[in-house]
Amino acid sequence: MVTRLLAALDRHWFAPGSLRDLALVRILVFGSQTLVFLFFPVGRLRPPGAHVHLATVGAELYQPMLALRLLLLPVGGWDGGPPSPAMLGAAYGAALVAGVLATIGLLARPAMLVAAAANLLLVAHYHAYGEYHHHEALMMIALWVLALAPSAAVWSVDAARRRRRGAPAAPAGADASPLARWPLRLMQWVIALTYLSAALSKLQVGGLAWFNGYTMSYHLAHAGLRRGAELAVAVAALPPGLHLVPSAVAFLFEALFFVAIVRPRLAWPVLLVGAAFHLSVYATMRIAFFQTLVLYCVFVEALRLHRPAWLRLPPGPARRPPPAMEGAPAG
Amino acid sequence: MRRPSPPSSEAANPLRTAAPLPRRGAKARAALVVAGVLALQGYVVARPRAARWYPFVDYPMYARSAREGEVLRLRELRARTCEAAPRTWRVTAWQVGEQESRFHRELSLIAAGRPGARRHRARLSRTVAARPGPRPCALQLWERAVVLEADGADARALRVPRWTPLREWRVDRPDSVVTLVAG
Repeated sequence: MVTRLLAALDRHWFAPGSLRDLALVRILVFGSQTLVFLFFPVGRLRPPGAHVHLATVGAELYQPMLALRLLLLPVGGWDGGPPSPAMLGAAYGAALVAGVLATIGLLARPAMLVAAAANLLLVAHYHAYGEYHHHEALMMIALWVLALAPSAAVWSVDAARRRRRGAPAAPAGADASPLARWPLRLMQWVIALTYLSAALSKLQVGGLAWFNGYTMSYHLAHAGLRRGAELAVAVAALPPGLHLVPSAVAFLFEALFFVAIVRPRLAWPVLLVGAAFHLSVYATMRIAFFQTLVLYCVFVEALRLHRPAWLRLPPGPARRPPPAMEGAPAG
Repeated sequence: MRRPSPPSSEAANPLRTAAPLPRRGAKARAALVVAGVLALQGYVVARPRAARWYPFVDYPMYARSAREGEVLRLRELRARTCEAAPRTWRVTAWQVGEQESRFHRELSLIAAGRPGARRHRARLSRTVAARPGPRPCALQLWERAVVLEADGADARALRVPRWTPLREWRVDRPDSVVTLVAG
Protein backbone atom coordinates (compact mmCIF):
# COMPACT_ATOMS: atom_id res chain seq x y z
CA MET A 1 0.00 0.00 0.00
CA VAL A 2 2.71 2.44 1.04
CA THR A 3 4.83 1.35 -1.89
CA ARG A 4 1.95 1.96 -4.28
CA LEU A 5 1.30 5.37 -2.77
CA LEU A 6 4.96 6.32 -3.09
CA ALA A 7 4.99 5.08 -6.67
CA ALA A 8 1.89 7.13 -7.45
CA LEU A 9 3.47 10.21 -5.86
CA ASP A 10 6.66 9.59 -7.81
CA ARG A 11 4.67 9.41 -11.04
CA HIS A 12 2.69 12.51 -10.15
CA TRP A 13 5.77 14.63 -9.55
CA PHE A 14 8.59 12.97 -11.48
CA ALA A 15 7.10 11.18 -14.48
CA PRO A 16 9.14 12.40 -17.44
CA GLY A 17 7.83 15.73 -18.61
CA SER A 18 8.62 17.96 -21.53
CA LEU A 19 11.58 20.31 -21.06
CA ARG A 20 10.04 22.41 -23.83
CA ASP A 21 6.91 22.89 -21.77
CA LEU A 22 9.08 23.97 -18.87
CA ALA A 23 11.11 26.31 -21.08
CA LEU A 24 7.93 27.82 -22.51
CA VAL A 25 6.72 28.54 -18.99
CA ARG A 26 10.10 30.11 -18.13
CA ILE A 27 9.86 32.41 -21.15
CA LEU A 28 6.25 33.40 -20.43
CA VAL A 29 6.72 33.90 -16.69
CA PHE A 30 10.04 35.75 -16.64
CA GLY A 31 9.19 37.52 -19.89
CA SER A 32 5.84 38.82 -18.71
CA GLN A 33 7.11 39.75 -15.25
CA THR A 34 10.05 41.66 -16.72
CA LEU A 35 8.62 43.20 -19.86
CA VAL A 36 4.97 43.69 -18.91
CA PHE A 37 4.35 43.72 -15.19
CA LEU A 38 7.41 45.79 -14.42
CA PHE A 39 5.81 48.62 -16.42
CA PHE A 40 2.11 47.82 -16.68
CA PRO A 41 0.21 50.22 -14.40
CA VAL A 42 -1.66 47.41 -12.65
CA GLY A 43 1.30 45.05 -12.82
CA ARG A 44 1.96 45.93 -9.25
CA LEU A 45 5.74 46.14 -9.30
CA ARG A 46 5.44 49.92 -9.43
CA PRO A 47 8.04 52.30 -10.78
CA PRO A 48 11.20 53.10 -8.80
CA GLY A 49 9.81 56.53 -7.90
CA ALA A 50 6.90 54.93 -6.04
CA HIS A 51 9.32 52.86 -3.97
CA VAL A 52 11.43 55.87 -3.11
CA HIS A 53 8.30 57.87 -2.20
CA LEU A 54 7.21 55.18 0.27
CA ALA A 55 10.72 54.83 1.69
CA THR A 56 10.85 58.56 2.44
CA VAL A 57 7.32 59.84 3.15
CA GLY A 58 6.15 56.56 4.68
CA ALA A 59 9.40 55.71 6.51
CA GLU A 60 7.61 55.85 9.88
CA LEU A 61 5.39 52.94 8.85
CA TYR A 62 8.25 50.70 7.73
CA GLN A 63 7.70 47.14 9.00
CA PRO A 64 9.65 44.74 6.80
CA MET A 65 8.41 41.21 6.46
CA LEU A 66 10.72 38.21 6.86
CA ALA A 67 11.44 37.86 3.14
CA LEU A 68 12.63 41.46 2.91
CA ARG A 69 14.73 41.16 6.05
CA LEU A 70 16.43 38.07 4.64
CA LEU A 71 17.07 39.70 1.28
CA LEU A 72 18.54 42.78 2.96
CA LEU A 73 20.65 40.71 5.35
CA PRO A 74 23.78 40.72 3.12
CA VAL A 75 23.75 44.54 3.14
CA GLY A 76 23.14 44.78 6.86
CA GLY A 77 19.50 45.66 6.56
CA TRP A 78 17.93 43.18 8.99
CA ASP A 79 17.00 45.75 11.62
CA GLY A 80 17.68 48.93 9.71
CA GLY A 81 15.34 51.43 8.14
CA PRO A 82 13.97 51.36 4.63
CA PRO A 83 16.42 50.56 1.82
CA SER A 84 18.13 53.58 0.31
CA PRO A 85 16.97 54.96 -3.04
CA ALA A 86 20.25 53.73 -4.54
CA MET A 87 19.58 50.20 -3.39
CA LEU A 88 16.02 50.30 -4.65
CA GLY A 89 17.26 51.57 -8.02
CA ALA A 90 19.85 48.79 -8.14
CA ALA A 91 17.19 46.18 -7.34
CA TYR A 92 15.01 47.57 -10.10
CA GLY A 93 17.89 47.45 -12.57
CA ALA A 94 18.77 43.92 -11.50
CA ALA A 95 15.15 42.81 -11.93
CA LEU A 96 15.18 44.20 -15.46
CA VAL A 97 18.56 42.92 -16.66
CA ALA A 98 18.36 39.53 -14.95
CA GLY A 99 14.74 39.17 -16.05
CA VAL A 100 15.66 39.66 -19.70
CA LEU A 101 18.59 37.21 -19.38
CA ALA A 102 16.34 34.66 -17.68
CA THR A 103 13.75 35.04 -20.44
CA ILE A 104 16.23 34.40 -23.24
CA GLY A 105 18.11 31.84 -21.18
CA LEU A 106 21.56 33.43 -21.12
CA LEU A 107 23.48 32.59 -17.92
CA ALA A 108 20.08 31.30 -17.10
CA ARG A 109 20.44 29.83 -13.62
CA PRO A 110 22.13 32.83 -11.96
CA ALA A 111 19.93 35.19 -13.97
CA MET A 112 16.74 33.48 -12.79
CA LEU A 113 17.92 33.52 -9.17
CA VAL A 114 18.88 37.21 -9.33
CA ALA A 115 15.61 38.11 -11.08
CA ALA A 116 13.60 36.19 -8.48
CA ALA A 117 15.46 37.85 -5.60
CA ALA A 118 15.24 41.36 -7.08
CA ASN A 119 11.53 41.04 -7.86
CA LEU A 120 10.79 39.67 -4.40
CA LEU A 121 12.80 42.47 -2.80
CA LEU A 122 10.82 45.11 -4.70
CA VAL A 123 7.44 43.53 -4.00
CA ALA A 124 8.26 42.86 -0.34
CA HIS A 125 9.51 46.43 0.01
CA TYR A 126 6.30 47.82 -1.41
CA HIS A 127 4.41 45.75 1.13
CA ALA A 128 6.54 46.84 4.06
CA TYR A 129 4.46 49.90 4.95
CA GLY A 130 1.50 48.42 6.76
CA GLU A 131 -0.31 47.04 3.75
CA TYR A 132 0.22 44.04 1.54
CA HIS A 133 -1.51 42.66 -1.51
CA HIS A 134 -1.92 39.24 -3.01
CA HIS A 135 -1.63 39.93 -6.72
CA GLU A 136 2.09 39.22 -7.01
CA ALA A 137 2.51 36.47 -4.43
CA LEU A 138 2.00 33.54 -6.81
CA MET A 139 4.30 35.10 -9.37
CA MET A 140 7.04 35.50 -6.77
CA ILE A 141 6.79 31.81 -5.83
CA ALA A 142 6.82 30.84 -9.51
CA LEU A 143 10.00 32.82 -10.20
CA TRP A 144 11.83 30.97 -7.41
CA VAL A 145 10.48 27.55 -8.38
CA LEU A 146 11.51 28.04 -12.01
CA ALA A 147 14.92 29.28 -10.92
CA LEU A 148 15.52 26.03 -9.04
CA ALA A 149 14.42 23.80 -11.95
CA PRO A 150 16.07 22.91 -15.30
CA SER A 151 13.96 25.60 -16.94
CA ALA A 152 16.60 26.63 -19.46
CA ALA A 153 17.72 23.16 -20.57
CA VAL A 154 16.17 23.82 -23.98
CA TRP A 155 14.95 26.90 -25.84
CA SER A 156 17.66 29.04 -24.33
CA VAL A 157 20.82 30.81 -25.42
CA ASP A 158 22.73 28.60 -22.99
CA ALA A 159 21.45 25.46 -24.72
CA ALA A 160 22.35 26.88 -28.14
CA ARG A 161 25.85 27.72 -26.92
CA ARG A 162 26.27 24.21 -25.53
CA ARG A 163 25.31 22.77 -28.91
CA ARG A 164 27.69 25.09 -30.72
CA ARG A 165 30.51 24.09 -28.42
CA GLY A 166 30.09 20.53 -29.72
CA ALA A 167 28.08 18.93 -27.00
CA PRO A 168 26.92 15.47 -28.19
CA ALA A 169 23.77 15.51 -30.28
CA ALA A 170 20.70 15.01 -28.20
CA PRO A 171 19.08 11.60 -28.63
CA ALA A 172 15.52 11.31 -29.80
CA GLY A 173 13.21 12.18 -26.95
CA ALA A 174 15.86 14.22 -25.15
CA ASP A 175 13.15 16.82 -24.68
CA ALA A 176 11.97 14.73 -21.75
CA SER A 177 13.28 14.81 -18.22
CA PRO A 178 12.03 13.43 -14.92
CA LEU A 179 12.89 16.85 -13.50
CA ALA A 180 10.73 18.77 -15.95
CA ARG A 181 7.38 18.00 -14.39
CA TRP A 182 7.67 18.92 -10.72
CA PRO A 183 8.00 22.71 -11.14
CA LEU A 184 4.82 22.91 -13.19
CA ARG A 185 2.96 20.48 -10.93
CA LEU A 186 4.07 22.43 -7.88
CA MET A 187 2.76 25.70 -9.27
CA GLN A 188 -0.49 24.02 -10.25
CA TRP A 189 -1.02 22.91 -6.67
CA VAL A 190 0.03 26.25 -5.21
CA ILE A 191 -2.49 28.02 -7.47
CA ALA A 192 -5.17 25.51 -6.43
CA LEU A 193 -4.32 26.07 -2.75
CA THR A 194 -4.67 29.82 -3.09
CA TYR A 195 -8.07 29.48 -4.71
CA LEU A 196 -9.06 26.99 -2.02
CA SER A 197 -7.94 29.49 0.61
CA ALA A 198 -10.20 32.14 -0.95
CA ALA A 199 -13.15 29.73 -0.96
CA LEU A 200 -12.60 28.57 2.63
CA SER A 201 -12.27 32.18 3.83
CA LYS A 202 -15.67 32.98 2.38
CA LEU A 203 -17.21 30.13 4.37
CA GLN A 204 -15.27 30.85 7.57
CA VAL A 205 -15.61 34.64 7.59
CA GLY A 206 -18.78 35.28 5.65
CA GLY A 207 -20.69 32.05 6.23
CA LEU A 208 -23.69 31.18 4.13
CA ALA A 209 -24.67 34.85 4.08
CA TRP A 210 -21.82 35.34 1.63
CA PHE A 211 -24.11 33.91 -1.05
CA ASN A 212 -27.12 36.15 -0.33
CA GLY A 213 -26.48 38.62 -3.17
CA TYR A 214 -26.18 41.60 -0.81
CA THR A 215 -22.58 40.63 -0.14
CA MET A 216 -21.67 40.98 -3.78
CA SER A 217 -23.60 44.27 -4.00
CA TYR A 218 -21.56 45.52 -1.03
CA HIS A 219 -18.17 44.52 -2.43
CA LEU A 220 -19.02 45.86 -5.88
CA ALA A 221 -20.17 49.19 -4.44
CA HIS A 222 -17.12 49.37 -2.19
CA ALA A 223 -14.60 48.65 -4.94
CA GLY A 224 -16.50 50.78 -7.41
CA LEU A 225 -16.60 53.89 -5.21
CA ARG A 226 -13.02 53.47 -3.97
CA ARG A 227 -11.55 52.91 -7.40
CA GLY A 228 -13.93 55.02 -9.45
CA ALA A 229 -15.11 51.93 -11.33
CA GLU A 230 -18.43 52.98 -12.84
CA LEU A 231 -19.37 49.51 -14.06
CA ALA A 232 -18.99 48.07 -10.54
CA VAL A 233 -21.19 50.85 -9.16
CA ALA A 234 -23.83 50.19 -11.83
CA VAL A 235 -23.82 46.43 -11.14
CA ALA A 236 -24.00 47.06 -7.37
CA ALA A 237 -27.29 48.88 -7.89
CA LEU A 238 -28.88 45.79 -9.50
CA PRO A 239 -31.26 43.67 -7.40
CA PRO A 240 -29.25 41.36 -5.09
CA GLY A 241 -31.08 38.35 -6.51
CA LEU A 242 -29.12 38.81 -9.72
CA HIS A 243 -25.88 38.30 -7.78
CA LEU A 244 -26.83 34.87 -6.44
CA VAL A 245 -25.59 32.87 -9.42
CA PRO A 246 -22.32 34.82 -9.89
CA SER A 247 -21.61 34.37 -6.16
CA ALA A 248 -22.10 30.62 -6.39
CA VAL A 249 -20.05 30.35 -9.59
CA ALA A 250 -17.16 32.32 -8.07
CA PHE A 251 -17.15 30.11 -4.98
CA LEU A 252 -17.42 26.85 -6.90
CA PHE A 253 -14.64 27.89 -9.27
CA GLU A 254 -12.31 28.66 -6.35
CA ALA A 255 -13.21 25.54 -4.39
CA LEU A 256 -12.97 23.16 -7.35
CA PHE A 257 -10.00 24.57 -9.23
CA PHE A 258 -7.90 21.53 -8.26
CA VAL A 259 -10.03 19.45 -10.67
CA ALA A 260 -7.88 20.89 -13.47
CA ILE A 261 -4.93 19.01 -11.95
CA VAL A 262 -6.50 15.68 -11.12
CA ARG A 263 -8.58 15.58 -14.30
CA PRO A 264 -6.37 17.16 -16.98
CA ARG A 265 -9.13 16.73 -19.56
CA LEU A 266 -11.04 19.41 -17.67
CA ALA A 267 -8.13 21.87 -17.66
CA TRP A 268 -9.46 23.83 -20.63
CA PRO A 269 -12.94 24.51 -19.23
CA VAL A 270 -11.62 25.21 -15.73
CA LEU A 271 -8.98 27.65 -16.96
CA LEU A 272 -11.42 29.34 -19.34
CA VAL A 273 -13.82 29.87 -16.43
CA GLY A 274 -10.85 31.22 -14.44
CA ALA A 275 -9.91 33.62 -17.21
CA ALA A 276 -13.51 34.82 -17.50
CA PHE A 277 -13.68 35.18 -13.70
CA HIS A 278 -10.53 37.32 -13.41
CA LEU A 279 -11.32 39.39 -16.50
CA SER A 280 -14.86 40.14 -15.34
CA VAL A 281 -13.56 41.07 -11.87
CA TYR A 282 -11.10 43.44 -13.53
CA ALA A 283 -13.73 44.86 -15.89
CA THR A 284 -16.07 45.66 -13.01
CA MET A 285 -13.99 46.14 -9.85
CA ARG A 286 -10.59 46.94 -11.46
CA ILE A 287 -8.93 44.24 -9.40
CA ALA A 288 -6.13 42.89 -11.56
CA PHE A 289 -4.91 39.33 -11.17
CA PHE A 290 -3.22 39.22 -14.57
CA GLN A 291 -0.13 37.53 -13.18
CA THR A 292 -2.28 34.62 -12.08
CA LEU A 293 -3.69 34.41 -15.60
CA VAL A 294 -0.17 34.23 -17.02
CA LEU A 295 0.62 31.48 -14.52
CA TYR A 296 -2.15 29.36 -15.98
CA CYS A 297 0.56 28.45 -18.53
CA VAL A 298 1.83 25.86 -16.00
CA PHE A 299 -1.04 23.73 -17.32
CA VAL A 300 0.61 23.73 -20.74
CA GLU A 301 0.80 19.93 -21.00
CA ALA A 302 -2.89 19.39 -20.23
CA LEU A 303 -3.82 22.26 -22.54
CA ARG A 304 -1.70 20.78 -25.33
CA LEU A 305 -2.86 17.19 -24.93
CA HIS A 306 -6.53 17.90 -24.41
CA ARG A 307 -7.02 20.74 -26.84
CA PRO A 308 -10.68 21.10 -27.80
CA ALA A 309 -11.58 20.23 -31.37
CA TRP A 310 -12.26 23.82 -32.32
CA LEU A 311 -8.65 24.71 -31.52
CA ARG A 312 -7.05 21.95 -33.56
CA LEU A 313 -5.57 22.74 -36.94
CA PRO A 314 -6.61 20.47 -39.80
CA PRO A 315 -3.69 18.10 -40.57
CA GLY A 316 -1.96 19.36 -43.70
CA PRO A 317 0.13 17.16 -46.02
CA ALA A 318 3.43 18.52 -44.70
CA ARG A 319 2.38 18.32 -41.06
CA ARG A 320 3.82 15.50 -39.05
CA PRO A 321 1.59 13.85 -36.51
CA PRO A 322 2.16 15.11 -32.97
CA PRO A 323 4.30 12.97 -30.69
CA ALA A 324 2.31 10.49 -28.64
CA MET A 325 2.80 12.10 -25.27
CA GLU A 326 -0.58 11.02 -24.02
CA GLY A 327 -0.77 9.52 -20.64
CA ALA A 328 1.41 11.53 -18.30
CA PRO A 329 -0.49 10.64 -15.18
CA ALA A 330 -2.14 13.27 -13.10
CA GLY A 331 -3.02 11.41 -10.01
CA MET B 1 9.47 -19.07 -18.50
CA ARG B 2 8.06 -15.57 -18.29
CA ARG B 3 6.30 -14.25 -21.28
CA PRO B 4 7.14 -10.71 -22.33
CA SER B 5 4.38 -8.39 -21.22
CA PRO B 6 2.61 -6.31 -23.86
CA PRO B 7 3.74 -2.70 -24.10
CA SER B 8 1.79 -0.58 -21.67
CA SER B 9 0.64 2.93 -22.40
CA GLU B 10 3.41 4.18 -20.14
CA ALA B 11 6.06 2.20 -21.99
CA ALA B 12 4.67 3.50 -25.25
CA ASN B 13 5.17 7.05 -24.10
CA PRO B 14 8.38 8.25 -25.75
CA LEU B 15 8.96 10.69 -22.91
CA ARG B 16 9.15 7.78 -20.51
CA THR B 17 11.42 5.59 -22.56
CA ALA B 18 13.84 8.26 -23.66
CA ALA B 19 14.10 10.32 -20.51
CA PRO B 20 17.48 9.98 -18.81
CA LEU B 21 17.32 9.16 -15.14
CA PRO B 22 18.14 12.15 -12.97
CA ARG B 23 20.80 12.04 -10.32
CA ARG B 24 19.28 10.90 -7.08
CA GLY B 25 20.43 14.10 -5.39
CA ALA B 26 18.64 16.28 -7.94
CA LYS B 27 15.39 14.44 -7.40
CA ALA B 28 15.76 14.59 -3.63
CA ARG B 29 16.38 18.34 -3.79
CA ALA B 30 13.32 18.77 -6.00
CA ALA B 31 11.23 16.71 -3.58
CA LEU B 32 12.46 18.92 -0.75
CA VAL B 33 11.43 22.09 -2.61
CA VAL B 34 8.02 20.59 -3.41
CA ALA B 35 7.45 19.56 0.21
CA GLY B 36 8.67 22.90 1.59
CA VAL B 37 6.58 25.06 -0.73
CA LEU B 38 3.41 23.00 -0.25
CA ALA B 39 3.93 22.87 3.52
CA LEU B 40 4.37 26.65 3.76
CA GLN B 41 1.42 27.42 1.49
CA GLY B 42 -0.74 24.85 3.29
CA TYR B 43 0.29 26.25 6.67
CA VAL B 44 -0.67 29.83 5.87
CA VAL B 45 -4.00 28.68 4.45
CA ALA B 46 -4.74 26.71 7.63
CA ARG B 47 -3.24 29.23 10.07
CA PRO B 48 -3.32 32.70 8.49
CA ARG B 49 -0.42 34.90 9.57
CA ALA B 50 -1.04 38.00 7.44
CA ALA B 51 2.13 38.69 5.48
CA ARG B 52 4.62 37.14 7.89
CA TRP B 53 5.55 34.36 5.45
CA TYR B 54 5.07 36.38 2.26
CA PRO B 55 4.92 35.33 -0.60
CA PHE B 56 3.09 32.49 1.14
CA VAL B 57 -0.19 34.13 2.14
CA ASP B 58 -3.83 33.22 2.61
CA TYR B 59 -6.52 34.81 0.47
CA PRO B 60 -9.34 36.20 2.62
CA MET B 61 -10.17 39.19 0.41
CA TYR B 62 -13.85 40.05 0.03
CA ALA B 63 -14.77 37.21 2.40
CA ARG B 64 -16.98 39.21 4.78
CA SER B 65 -20.69 39.05 4.14
CA ALA B 66 -23.25 41.85 4.12
CA ARG B 67 -26.97 41.92 4.67
CA GLU B 68 -29.92 44.08 3.73
CA GLY B 69 -29.77 47.42 5.55
CA GLU B 70 -25.99 47.36 5.93
CA VAL B 71 -24.30 50.73 5.47
CA LEU B 72 -21.20 51.03 3.33
CA ARG B 73 -19.09 53.92 4.61
CA LEU B 74 -16.35 55.66 2.66
CA ARG B 75 -14.11 58.19 4.35
CA GLU B 76 -12.03 61.03 3.07
CA LEU B 77 -9.37 63.21 4.68
CA ARG B 78 -9.44 66.91 3.89
CA ALA B 79 -7.08 69.70 4.83
CA ARG B 80 -8.26 73.23 5.64
CA THR B 81 -6.43 76.54 5.89
CA CYS B 82 -7.31 79.08 8.55
CA GLU B 83 -7.48 82.19 6.42
CA ALA B 84 -10.52 84.43 6.39
CA ALA B 85 -11.64 82.56 3.30
CA PRO B 86 -10.37 79.06 4.13
CA ARG B 87 -9.30 76.74 1.38
CA THR B 88 -10.08 73.01 1.61
CA TRP B 89 -8.63 70.14 -0.37
CA ARG B 90 -8.64 66.35 -0.33
CA VAL B 91 -5.59 64.57 1.07
CA THR B 92 -4.90 61.25 -0.65
CA ALA B 93 -3.32 58.14 0.83
CA TRP B 94 -0.36 58.51 -1.48
CA GLN B 95 0.33 62.08 -0.31
CA VAL B 96 0.84 60.84 3.24
CA GLY B 97 3.04 57.93 2.13
CA GLU B 98 0.40 55.27 2.58
CA GLN B 99 -1.50 52.81 0.47
CA GLU B 100 -5.27 52.84 0.14
CA SER B 101 -6.36 50.04 2.48
CA ARG B 102 -4.15 51.07 5.39
CA PHE B 103 -5.16 54.70 4.97
CA HIS B 104 -8.86 53.83 5.06
CA ARG B 105 -8.39 51.58 8.09
CA GLU B 106 -6.72 54.51 9.79
CA LEU B 107 -9.58 56.86 8.89
CA SER B 108 -12.07 54.28 10.24
CA LEU B 109 -10.21 54.17 13.56
CA ILE B 110 -10.26 57.97 13.77
CA ALA B 111 -13.96 58.07 12.86
CA ALA B 112 -14.78 55.55 15.58
CA GLY B 113 -12.49 57.26 18.11
CA ARG B 114 -10.80 53.93 18.81
CA PRO B 115 -7.64 53.57 20.90
CA GLY B 116 -4.70 54.48 18.74
CA ALA B 117 -6.70 57.11 16.88
CA ARG B 118 -4.57 59.86 18.45
CA ARG B 119 -1.39 58.27 17.11
CA HIS B 120 -2.88 58.18 13.62
CA ARG B 121 -4.12 61.78 13.84
CA ALA B 122 -0.65 62.88 14.96
CA ARG B 123 1.11 61.08 12.14
CA LEU B 124 -1.30 62.35 9.50
CA SER B 125 -0.92 65.88 10.86
CA ARG B 126 2.89 65.71 10.78
CA THR B 127 2.98 64.31 7.26
CA VAL B 128 0.45 66.79 5.85
CA ALA B 129 2.22 69.70 7.54
CA ALA B 130 5.55 68.62 6.04
CA ARG B 131 4.22 68.61 2.50
CA PRO B 132 5.14 71.46 0.18
CA GLY B 133 2.35 73.82 -0.78
CA PRO B 134 -0.30 75.62 1.25
CA ARG B 135 0.03 74.94 4.96
CA PRO B 136 -3.24 73.71 6.46
CA CYS B 137 -4.19 74.47 10.05
CA ALA B 138 -6.77 71.70 10.44
CA LEU B 139 -7.57 68.25 9.13
CA GLN B 140 -11.11 67.04 8.64
CA LEU B 141 -12.62 63.58 8.30
CA TRP B 142 -15.58 63.32 5.92
CA GLU B 143 -17.88 60.39 5.31
CA ARG B 144 -20.14 59.15 2.54
CA ALA B 145 -22.69 56.40 3.28
CA VAL B 146 -24.47 54.02 0.92
CA VAL B 147 -27.23 51.75 2.25
CA LEU B 148 -27.82 48.24 0.91
CA GLU B 149 -31.55 48.33 0.31
CA ALA B 150 -33.87 45.44 -0.51
CA ASP B 151 -33.49 46.08 -4.23
CA GLY B 152 -29.73 46.70 -4.19
CA ALA B 153 -27.27 49.38 -3.19
CA ASP B 154 -28.99 52.78 -2.95
CA ALA B 155 -28.69 53.92 -6.55
CA ARG B 156 -29.19 57.59 -5.68
CA ALA B 157 -26.44 57.55 -3.08
CA LEU B 158 -24.18 55.84 -5.59
CA ARG B 159 -24.93 58.38 -8.30
CA VAL B 160 -24.90 61.57 -6.24
CA PRO B 161 -22.15 61.61 -3.63
CA ARG B 162 -23.24 63.22 -0.35
CA TRP B 163 -20.28 63.84 1.93
CA THR B 164 -20.79 64.86 5.54
CA PRO B 165 -18.09 66.16 7.89
CA LEU B 166 -17.39 63.92 10.92
CA ARG B 167 -14.35 65.16 12.83
CA GLU B 168 -11.86 68.00 12.75
CA TRP B 169 -8.60 68.57 14.60
CA ARG B 170 -5.88 71.16 14.49
CA VAL B 171 -2.71 70.08 12.73
CA ASP B 172 -0.53 71.32 15.62
CA ARG B 173 -2.81 69.72 18.28
CA PRO B 174 -3.96 66.22 17.32
CA ASP B 175 -5.93 65.99 20.59
CA SER B 176 -8.17 68.90 19.70
CA VAL B 177 -10.83 66.74 18.06
CA VAL B 178 -14.15 68.39 17.36
CA THR B 179 -17.11 66.23 16.39
CA LEU B 180 -18.85 67.91 13.50
CA VAL B 181 -21.64 65.37 13.03
CA ALA B 182 -22.27 62.31 15.17
CA GLY B 183 -20.53 59.42 13.37
